[in-house]
Amino acid sequence: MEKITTRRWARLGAVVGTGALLVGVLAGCSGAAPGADSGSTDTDAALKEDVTLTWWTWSDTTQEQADAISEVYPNVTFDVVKLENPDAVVTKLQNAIKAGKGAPDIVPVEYQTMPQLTLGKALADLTPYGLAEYEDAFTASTWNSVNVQDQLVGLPGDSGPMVMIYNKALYEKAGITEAPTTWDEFATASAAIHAADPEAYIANSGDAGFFTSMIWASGGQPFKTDGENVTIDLQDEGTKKFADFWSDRLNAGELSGLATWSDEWTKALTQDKLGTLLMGSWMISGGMEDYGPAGRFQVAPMPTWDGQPASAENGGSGLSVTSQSEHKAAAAGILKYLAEGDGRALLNANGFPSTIADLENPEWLDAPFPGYSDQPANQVGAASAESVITGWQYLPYQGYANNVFSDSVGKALGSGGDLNEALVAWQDTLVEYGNEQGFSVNK
Amino acid sequence: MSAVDTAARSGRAPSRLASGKVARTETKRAKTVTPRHKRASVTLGILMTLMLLYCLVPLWWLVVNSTKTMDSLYNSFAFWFSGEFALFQNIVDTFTYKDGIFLRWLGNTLVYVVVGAGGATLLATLAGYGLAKYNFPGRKWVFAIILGAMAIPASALAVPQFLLFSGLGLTNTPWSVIIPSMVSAFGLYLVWVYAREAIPDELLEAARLDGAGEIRIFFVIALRQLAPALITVLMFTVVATWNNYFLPLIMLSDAQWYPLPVGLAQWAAQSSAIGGQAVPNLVITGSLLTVIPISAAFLYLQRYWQSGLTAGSVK
Amino acid sequence: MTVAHVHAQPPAGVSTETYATVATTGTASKGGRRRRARRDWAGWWFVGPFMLIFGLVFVAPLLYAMYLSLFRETLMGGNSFVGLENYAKAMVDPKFWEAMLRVSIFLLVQVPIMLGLALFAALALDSARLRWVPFYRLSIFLPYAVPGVVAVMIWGYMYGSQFGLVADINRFFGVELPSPLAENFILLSIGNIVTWEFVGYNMLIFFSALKAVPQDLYEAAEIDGAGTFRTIFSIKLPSIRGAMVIATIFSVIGSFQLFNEPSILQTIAPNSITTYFTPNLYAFNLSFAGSQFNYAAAIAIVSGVITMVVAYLVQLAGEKNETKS
Repeated sequence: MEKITTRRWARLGAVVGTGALLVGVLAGCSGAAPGADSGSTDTDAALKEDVTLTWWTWSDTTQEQADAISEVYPNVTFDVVKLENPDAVVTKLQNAIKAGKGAPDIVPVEYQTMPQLTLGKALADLTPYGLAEYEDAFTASTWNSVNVQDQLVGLPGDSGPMVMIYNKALYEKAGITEAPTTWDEFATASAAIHAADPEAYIANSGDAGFFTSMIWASGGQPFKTDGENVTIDLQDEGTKKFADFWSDRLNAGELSGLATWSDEWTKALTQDKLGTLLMGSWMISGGMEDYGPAGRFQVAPMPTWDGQPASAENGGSGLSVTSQSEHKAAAAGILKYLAEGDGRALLNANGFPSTIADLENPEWLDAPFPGYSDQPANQVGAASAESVITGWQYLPYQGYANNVFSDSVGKALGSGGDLNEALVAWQDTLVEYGNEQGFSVNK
Repeated sequence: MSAVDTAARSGRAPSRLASGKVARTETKRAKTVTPRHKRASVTLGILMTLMLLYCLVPLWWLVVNSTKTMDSLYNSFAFWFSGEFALFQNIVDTFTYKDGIFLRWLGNTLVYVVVGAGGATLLATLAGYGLAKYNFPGRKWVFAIILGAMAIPASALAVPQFLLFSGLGLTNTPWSVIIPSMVSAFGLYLVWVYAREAIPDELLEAARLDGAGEIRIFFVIALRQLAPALITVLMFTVVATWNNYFLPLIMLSDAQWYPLPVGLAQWAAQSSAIGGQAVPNLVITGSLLTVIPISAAFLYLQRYWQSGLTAGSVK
Repeated sequence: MTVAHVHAQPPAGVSTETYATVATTGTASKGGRRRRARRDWAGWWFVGPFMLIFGLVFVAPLLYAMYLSLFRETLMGGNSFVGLENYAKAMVDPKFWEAMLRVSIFLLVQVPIMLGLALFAALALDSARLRWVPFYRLSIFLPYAVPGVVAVMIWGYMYGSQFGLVADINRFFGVELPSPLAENFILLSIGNIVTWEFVGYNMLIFFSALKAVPQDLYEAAEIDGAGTFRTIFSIKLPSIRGAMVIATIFSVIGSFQLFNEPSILQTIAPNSITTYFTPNLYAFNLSFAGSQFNYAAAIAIVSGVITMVVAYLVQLAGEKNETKS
């Protein structure tokens, strides 16, 4: 009898113990929200105090930038944490937000995921810290990207007005001596390249980021968000135009199925089997010299539908301060420093700028690129920045959208078929998800 | 309840695997040992060689390509050496790239293996012995819970695990990798079935009559009997910890705590970020360097394991 | 059986007299085959540390997952208690069941092939008709020591139909093999990677079990004039049946939990591997890409229950065979 009682107590104790642990932990999860920040918005004062700022990045050069900033602000030390790529940063940031702690102070965010992270309350509004005054310094499209849901959630960093980087030698081997300026010419070149070498392709079929940018460049605007009202139309005129065009290339067998950035894809570029990259201008200085001898690749404007300049943004990112940061004022102060002058030069050293002054700087514009046989390639990118079509919006859950892209459109890209049907399937998934998440989609 | 029963019944297998019973019976069977060598079969040799090739060809690829420069990596036949023999340069580059972070990852992995796999083996041995040799309140429940938990996908528990560890302030610390590594349900299972057969209750009774305490009995008497099972568990947990990828990927955000597989995956993925450099030659050489120590460790452990095993069966 | 446990010499730490007394009287006087230690709390000293960590790493997250699965937190609507709604949704979710079907096919095809190869190799090593046994044994086991990340990278290269091994074969023989990374073949290709990784591991389990088969049995068979195959079927296989059941159960659990290989392969074959390729991948993507933590928890629990049921059925089948033979 006594024994049973003991056992019962023990069992009860174990249950209670586990429960207490759980409750404690859960309380910890939700309790440690952004409270620890002083709330001061005086960035200058904040930078005069000793502070350590954690700065996540996916770039190899951030450490150098941080070191340089520390020389200007000796009280500020940086803990730079390198993650592998933008996706990893988003995932880990969302985990940290969900867990209630662990987020850095400064974090780079791709423009396309800013709405999603803003909605998830991961990013701090920088308006109170006086960052809004820099508006005029930036291109309209990048400034638009960091203004989300009436908040300023980041400082534009680099930008990605699209350009076409093409393998001149491969085009010439197929009898194409001029870079295509329209999509019709691109189609002709595509057929010629594949005919001249059946193992060569004008391009690979692409991923979600590529697809949305191409829709953007074709004048499509499939995503519209206004508060909780979301409209998705992946069959609007621009979207259809691109989908039809890409379906034709795909079904003619003219597109390579290699995944962008994979080793085989790299190999295809180096071995003259992949003719074109349609990417953001950051790729201009993105190491094309690794892919072949100088002069193999050239940079040209994006082809367009009617011969008139039209472009889109592809990639590019800004710097944000997280909602969990306990040193928001100091972090915002660093962003201020990076917004202009010496700081800006530091930030621009490795990317394609988003500041108007830099895009118009003759020294930068005329700089020859040895990798493109001394072509002043920045001029192409700068021109593209001016012709980016305005009015584009990403979904407030673009990360999810890009993730499930492979289930519908990706599947069609892999096995052939009508991309329009696949886009409708993608849309259905996105509508369902949005409504489930409390938005009012297509209602 | 039924899970406990069935597990108990099927328990015979790993006990033979670990050969406890057999080792114990060696004196009895010693007289009957005869050599079992027969004429070699050519067919068998051919079939087994095919299987051997299947297993080794991918590793051959790894070895060959770690001797290549980035350029010949992209431009030569992948199953034979080509161009400059760059293995040593690649190794130097792997160890010096980004201030020698690879060395740091190697060190991390070693710590995770020593503490994680070592801890897992110790805990599994203790618990397996306890389950086999003691009848204590809650014993059946312990077993049911362990077996049940094994069927739940580990990655499905990833989110709750992450949130709990985060709540305890353990994420992004070595503990977030080490603590989960210290649980080896399979190891516990192996030791449990092995201990049932390998350690006679009479032995423990005798020790108790001699006045030895339970803990002392375990360390002085039982541990020795359990050695073959312990080596087996150690081998599996070392491999599992060395190759651990998923959990650290979620738990760690700072590369300075990464173990090798996560670090290598980061190198492989970094080309997809602006300012990131493609370093396939380092990924390949790093992979080779990751495989070598674990293979050596296995070779080393296997010797003990085999001797523990063969002592009773083929001597 | 019990006799076999008795040592001729007492092990270290036990005095000869005590041991002799217990060994001779222990079994007889109690009249039982084996005497369990007293039923008291001493066992917890040994099981406790494991259970503590186990509770932290498995039980607590599992309970938390169960708790989570009863709620639904949305981006706009906040958090609300929904009872079993997530489970009801999972029951009719075509993506989930497609994933289940896929791992079931994987299970039915890959597991028998892998275990068959492993068994064949183990029997060959044990046959005494093969030279260089240690060399074969080590080589076949070696892939198990290769981290999954590295294994997928190597095979991913070989699967390349433009620059990989497949491309080389195509060019050399002038054939046009289908791409292993295409949607129709990807499951097969993953099965091959998993087989490569784990065939040696299973072989070793079988081989160890075979090594432990008492010699007397073989001698008896030899006297009976049994041939190689009869020895295999009437002695070896029945003797290692337990090992086979265990290996099958672990492979079943492994199949249902399939995650690492498809998830790493996704970077080179994004268009062939959907976000709901396996139940595990589905749960992962639901929580990490879609912030649907609650539904993901429900999916995980349902697939865990299904895994347990199947593993249990495998055990039952194993026992049924035992009673037959």
